[in-house]
Amino acid sequence: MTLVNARAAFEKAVTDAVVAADSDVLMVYDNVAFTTPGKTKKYILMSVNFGQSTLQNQGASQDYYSGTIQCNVYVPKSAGTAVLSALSEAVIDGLTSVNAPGYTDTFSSVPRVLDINGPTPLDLEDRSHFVGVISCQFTAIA
Amino acid sequence: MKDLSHAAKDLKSKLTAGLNQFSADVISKEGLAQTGNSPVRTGFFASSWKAQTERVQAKDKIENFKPWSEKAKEQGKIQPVIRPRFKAQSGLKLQNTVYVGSSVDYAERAIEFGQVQNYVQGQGIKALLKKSFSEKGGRS
Repeated sequence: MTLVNARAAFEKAVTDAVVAADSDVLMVYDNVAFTTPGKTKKYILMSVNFGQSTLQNQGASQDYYSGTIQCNVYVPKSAGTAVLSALSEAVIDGLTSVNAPGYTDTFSSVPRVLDINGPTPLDLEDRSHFVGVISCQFTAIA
Repeated sequence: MKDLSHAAKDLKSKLTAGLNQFSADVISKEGLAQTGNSPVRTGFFASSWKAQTERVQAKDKIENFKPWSEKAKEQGKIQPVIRPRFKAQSGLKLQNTVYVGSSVDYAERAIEFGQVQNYVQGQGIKALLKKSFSEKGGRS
C-alpha cells in the first residue's frame, strides 16, 4: 500500500457520495493544482493530512497511516444554508461509508474514519459563500 | 507491603496536576502557540490562546495590541511574533470543563485552514496528553 492508495480511498468515497447527492458540486483536492471556483459555484475542498506512517512492533515496522481529513464545503450565500446542510451530510456519508461492513476496499488500504467533527458553519460577512468545516481522524493499514 | 489507603487521593491529586499542566502547555509554545499548530501571519492568533472554565470570547482586535498592530500593516513577507499573551487559569479541578480558545476577533476564520483541527486530532496533542498524564508527568 502506498500513501497514494490511502488518499485515493478516502477521496473516492467522499467524491462518490457527493456526486450522488448533487452532480453540480466541484470537488477540489489539496494535492492537485486548482483555481478557486467562482462566486456562484458550490465546491468542496478536501485535504488529507498524514500524521503517522508506521507502527514499530516487534521486528519489522508495519505500514500504518493515520492523520486527519478536512472537508470545507462552500455554498454561495444565495443558495441558502439548506444546501450547505445537504452537502455536508453527503460528505459525512462518504466518510463513514468506508467503515460500513459492505465497503469494497478497491485500494487495498483498509481505510477507517474515527469520530467526525462538524459541520461547523462559518458565516463570514465579507465572503460570497457559506462555509461548513468537517474534519475527522483516519487510519489505513498495509 | 505498600499502604494503599491513600491511593484514591494520590490518583486524584496526580490527575488534577496533569490537568493543570496540560492546560498550561496546550496554550504555550509547546502546544497551539506555534507555527504549524495554528495558522500564522502576524502571530496574533497563535499568541492569544486561553484555557479557562468559561467560554473564550473572540473579541480582541489586532489594531489594539502591539507589536501585532504594526505587523499587520507591513507589506510582503511578515516576520511573525508568537508570544503567548495569557497563562492558563490556575487551580483547575477535575470536575471543571476547560475551554481552550483564541481571543482574537477573527478566530472563527482560522478553522477554515485546518492546522488547529490537525493538531487537536493528530499526534501533537496526543504527545502532550501523554506527557501531562503519564506517571512521571504532571506537577505533584
